[in-house]
Amino acid sequence: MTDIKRVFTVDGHPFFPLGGQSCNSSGYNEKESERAFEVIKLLHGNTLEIPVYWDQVEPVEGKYDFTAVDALLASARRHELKLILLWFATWKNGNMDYVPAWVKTNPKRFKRVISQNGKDIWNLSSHCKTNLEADKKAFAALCKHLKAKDNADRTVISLQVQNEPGIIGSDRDYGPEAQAVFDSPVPAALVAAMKKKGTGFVYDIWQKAGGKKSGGTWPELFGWEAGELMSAWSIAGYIDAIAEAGKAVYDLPMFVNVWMMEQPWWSLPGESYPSGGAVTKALDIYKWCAPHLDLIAPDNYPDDSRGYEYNAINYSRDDNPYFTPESAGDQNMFRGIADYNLIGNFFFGVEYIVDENCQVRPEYQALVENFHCISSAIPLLLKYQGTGKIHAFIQEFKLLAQRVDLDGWLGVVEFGEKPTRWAGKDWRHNAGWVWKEQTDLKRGRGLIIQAAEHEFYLVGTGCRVFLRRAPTPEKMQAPALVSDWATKIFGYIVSVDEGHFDKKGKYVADRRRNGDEIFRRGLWVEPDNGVLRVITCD
Amino acid sequence: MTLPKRIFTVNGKPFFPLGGQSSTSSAYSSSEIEPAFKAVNLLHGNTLLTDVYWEHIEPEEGKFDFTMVDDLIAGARNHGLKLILLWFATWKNATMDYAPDWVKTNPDRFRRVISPTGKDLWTLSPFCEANLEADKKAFTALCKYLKTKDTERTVIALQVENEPGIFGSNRDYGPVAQAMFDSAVPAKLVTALKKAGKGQAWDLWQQAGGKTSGNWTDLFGWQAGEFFSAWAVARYIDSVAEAGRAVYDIPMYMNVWLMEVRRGDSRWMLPGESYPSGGGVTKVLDITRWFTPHLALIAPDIKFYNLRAFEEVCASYSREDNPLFLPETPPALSLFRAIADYNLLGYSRMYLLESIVAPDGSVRPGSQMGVDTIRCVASAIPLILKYQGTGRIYAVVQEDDIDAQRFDMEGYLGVASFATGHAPHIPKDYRHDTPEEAKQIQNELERGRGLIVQASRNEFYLVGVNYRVFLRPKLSPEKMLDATFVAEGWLTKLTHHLRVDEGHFDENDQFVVDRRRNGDVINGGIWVAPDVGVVRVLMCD
Repeated sequence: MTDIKRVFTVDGHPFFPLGGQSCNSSGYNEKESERAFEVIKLLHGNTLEIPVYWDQVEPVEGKYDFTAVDALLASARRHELKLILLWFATWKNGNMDYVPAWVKTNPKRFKRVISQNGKDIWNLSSHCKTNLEADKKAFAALCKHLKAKDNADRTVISLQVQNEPGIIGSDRDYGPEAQAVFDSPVPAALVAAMKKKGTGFVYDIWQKAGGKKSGGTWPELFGWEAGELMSAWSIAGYIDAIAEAGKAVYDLPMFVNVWMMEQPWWSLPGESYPSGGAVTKALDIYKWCAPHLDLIAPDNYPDDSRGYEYNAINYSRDDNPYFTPESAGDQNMFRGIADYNLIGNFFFGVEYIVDENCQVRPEYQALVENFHCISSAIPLLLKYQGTGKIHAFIQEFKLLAQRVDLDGWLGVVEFGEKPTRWAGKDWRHNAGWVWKEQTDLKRGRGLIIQAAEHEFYLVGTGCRVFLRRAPTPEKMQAPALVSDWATKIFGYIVSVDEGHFDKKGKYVADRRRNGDEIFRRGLWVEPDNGVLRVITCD
Repeated sequence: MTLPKRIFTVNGKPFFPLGGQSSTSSAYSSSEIEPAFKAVNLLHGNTLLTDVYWEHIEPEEGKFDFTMVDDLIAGARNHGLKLILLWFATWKNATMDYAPDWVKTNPDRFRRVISPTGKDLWTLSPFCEANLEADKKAFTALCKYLKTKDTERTVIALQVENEPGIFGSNRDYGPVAQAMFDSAVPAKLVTALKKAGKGQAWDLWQQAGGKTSGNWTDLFGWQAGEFFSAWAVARYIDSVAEAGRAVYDIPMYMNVWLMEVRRGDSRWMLPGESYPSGGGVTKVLDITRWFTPHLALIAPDIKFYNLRAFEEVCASYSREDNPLFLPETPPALSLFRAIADYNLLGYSRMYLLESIVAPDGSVRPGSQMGVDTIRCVASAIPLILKYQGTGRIYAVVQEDDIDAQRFDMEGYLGVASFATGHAPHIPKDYRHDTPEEAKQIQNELERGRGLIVQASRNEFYLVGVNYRVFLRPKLSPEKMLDATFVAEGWLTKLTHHLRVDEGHFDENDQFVVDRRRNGDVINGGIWVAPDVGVVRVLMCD
């Protein structure tokens, strides 16, 4: 049993934000953002993530224009959706594309990162106080505006501070201020935190580099990784100061997202991913140095299940609830929910999902189904995450069935079409027998929630679930029972209903299933069935 | 990672058996077995696994006929292959199908397992001395015969029984077995469990209360029947092996029908129903191992392709007291990972081996993928024998939905790229970008797979299919991350190829260069193919 910190709430109740993020340029006006709102409805989502641009809200230093923000609030309310606003300012994907022109054109005042060879990089230096003060002032103004316009409705449920921060083009700032920091002792607080933790990626890097005691410079303590860890420390402090200033004005949940280091190619800081972001190896530093952020969120894109789960493990920790503001929206989401207590999920680039007539493109049908399934199950997720009662099933490559251990029951999920019985003859007559390849679109996936010993809920697609009482050996081993009929004999089903949860979180049965529809076919479910409820008995 | 314990040898030298297992009716005559030998030759293998049937060699009690064994040995020599013989006797897939007629038809003397409902099952009871003595006698006769006839050591190992255990019950409920089941668990087992202090058997014992004395149910609760069967089957087979090795000391092992889900019909993972109860499955492997000191190893029959499930089994069966050997496994992508990460000692392809030979003697097209995979392993055998366990062998495996794989090596970073040269994605906006094609699972034929061996800092050997390797020296951040190098031109600036050769290993395990590569054919990464043999890459600073 894990106690889940529900960072997102609506009307004081835990809330599971589900939806997508608009494309980067869709937040500039009402017309541009409309399509994103429409797609969230098609996804059965409840929340849109969309940017607020520093260059738009402060075109002239000190003069603010929040027209675009007001338009977003109005549209969200009209569509009955919530908003998470993304503050595109000092950093957007490791560069400064969204800072106002008056910042971009004044590098003397707003200092940039200097690379190894002395060149400017298109990236504001986290070591320059002026940069921080300017960003902080603008962000605080945004928070003040939201407090005035949205404190009652709370359409905006959270703010993302910056987007995938860090440096592309160098592992750190080689400018004079940064160099001086690099050559000074690593702050004692950081060394103390590493020592106290005694484990983890940062600690391991420190130990690998010799584990020198406090008083050493960054390269003395961290060797090859010194540049990246110094950048992480500096940027974490910078973002935290902005969040702190914002929260002082309007206390909303705030977080920062991460361009992950787990890239298939070289995985080098400043080249493969921005150096100084809260990547896996630097996450501890962010947790220690950015107390005003409610969580650090991985942009967890890998669609291979191992890659996805590796990230989920590293970012779901006691001090960091697991939230994915950007994801591929694929079947891995089910595992994130069941095994890593995912508290909200977003697909990036929602406008791509539909064609010019706002119809779901065929290649995105599976994704829409995933969101549809999760959306139906939200009351169950909020209630049962962390209790061990939610089980994900995912048809991985060449996986025909998955066994699920339930309380007092065995469960088996069969994927795909009913397999033909394997009836071997000999090698002359079975030649050419090959496994049928499944396609991504047809992959089985979903959740089984066992609310009580005899009460099960299912959402998903492409699967059949068979339940069987966890038997005693003598009862189970009678050869008469060991046959195809096992499921019928062992699974005593009282009722099977298709239904949904109402606004109060009560299950409402829409349709009853019985007879041929359940006899020996297993319990099947598709997105348009909503939530299947199965009641059993002894 | 530790150096593997080599069980299989030829002329006193370590040997990596590679090949296939014939179908289970192919060893009755020399004409039936011929296609199996041909298939192993087509696979570029060195060893055929084939059966010796108890019913065939001892048709009448005490009268032995080893004609078929002679034919197998002669056939192997003709085809330049080694043999591993599988003793199909008391157990073949948990039944007694291969016991002689005089055993099958005399249940009073050769007692069968009794199910909970009191019915006979088609399995000889491990609790019947007459069964053990009869099997042991026949197996000893086989070993004696091999000792006399196989002076060239064509037969390199024996598998004792095949996928033993009980179907239709978790244990024998007959009177002899029941009495033992109700008696105290042997002290040797309790001592071994205590000493282990961990592992699946220990966990299940603890879950059942962790009592140190009592009968089987007292100690093992729900699992008692299966634990009891595993103990009895292990002792039975070990006794057969002991008798055989007393006559002729060659490596012996047993194989396992696994408990892990394979298909829809074995989905419940229940002993005696989904898989034979009493075999050396994951949860009782410790027990099987403690009671089989005369067996060199317990071999899992992995029959699934799913990568995670495959590796979980490799992890369970590759242990200090049990090297990993795969006598019945499809040529799955994970084979390369078993070699690199789990010190695999040898491999034999399962299922319909003979069918890979087309009527004209070539490879049937549907079987090409498996042949390619095994051919790559065959080219690399000298490297495998030399570098397994040193941490210098890396498996390249194009798992589900990945485009590239990264390796952290001595002095270098490596990337195996599986993309086939698609244009880089240059996004415009959602109105002007064609949405990415929905990703289909790549055809397994096209999946990248193989091995990278870093023999020394600047010396690499590659075998495989459908991948390209890029190497990049690990430098200080100032050099390695310099923005002026971080561009499309970095490969030529940072990566220094001294020479790239295609070649093979000769009989003295020396690398022989067959062809040199340079210029355009190396600038796009170092690529591999089954028919180019081994690619050697020499680098410099």
